[in-house]
Amino acid sequence: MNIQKSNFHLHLTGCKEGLEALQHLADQACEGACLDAIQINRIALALDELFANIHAHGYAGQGGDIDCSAKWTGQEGKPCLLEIKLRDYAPTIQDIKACKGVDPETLKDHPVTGGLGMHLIYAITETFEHTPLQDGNQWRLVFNLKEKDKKS
Amino acid sequence: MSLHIEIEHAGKAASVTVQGDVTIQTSPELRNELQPLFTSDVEVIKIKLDGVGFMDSSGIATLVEGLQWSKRVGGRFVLLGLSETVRDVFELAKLDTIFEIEG
Repeated sequence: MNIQKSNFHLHLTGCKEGLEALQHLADQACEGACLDAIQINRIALALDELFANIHAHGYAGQGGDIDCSAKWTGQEGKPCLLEIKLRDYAPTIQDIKACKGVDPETLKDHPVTGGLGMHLIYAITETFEHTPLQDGNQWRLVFNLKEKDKKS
Repeated sequence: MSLHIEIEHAGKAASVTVQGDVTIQTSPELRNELQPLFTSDVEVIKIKLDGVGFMDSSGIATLVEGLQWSKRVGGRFVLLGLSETVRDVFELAKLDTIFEIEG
């Protein structure tokens, strides 16, 4: 695994541009890492979902600053952890429990259209943490990744 | 990536071919195309997703509306041609056993 560290500052003013910038962050963080398509898609999906929530609920669709950083931790030849942090300057969320997402157990009998994004983030990440800040929120996502078999 | 949607009707069946990424930006377009199909005049809706490489929760939520329609009127809402990555998203959402998925 090619351990890299990348730091970015993104100013998100629109949905499309923000998503493209975050996709670029994920691509750069994964560059050199031998990940399969599903793992790469999951990273992109988790960032997409978190961005969409910050954009829609934090910034009410008006855009705003988001600081992003990504770094790899772990040892050569072992599953590695990719840590991505997003920091917004939106109104502080005090109770993350309110953002837990839909309960998957209820989906079978009562398919709903809301709350799937947060459920997906929790399902994809090894760790998903929120820290309320005085002037915003910090979001920490940790992905437990495994290199695909290079012979295949 | 923009979305390309084609709808073919055959009797009481509708076949919808979707190409592109289904995201928070493009899913309203898909929703607008699907909504008129959610009537009691239609018995089967098939959604062909071969050309979809990326789908987020807004795309899935749009398809869940089809699931709700099928439960409401007793119709069939079938998803076909899911790529490996799109199928994985359905599995993560625990919806792979709830939707009727073929191929």
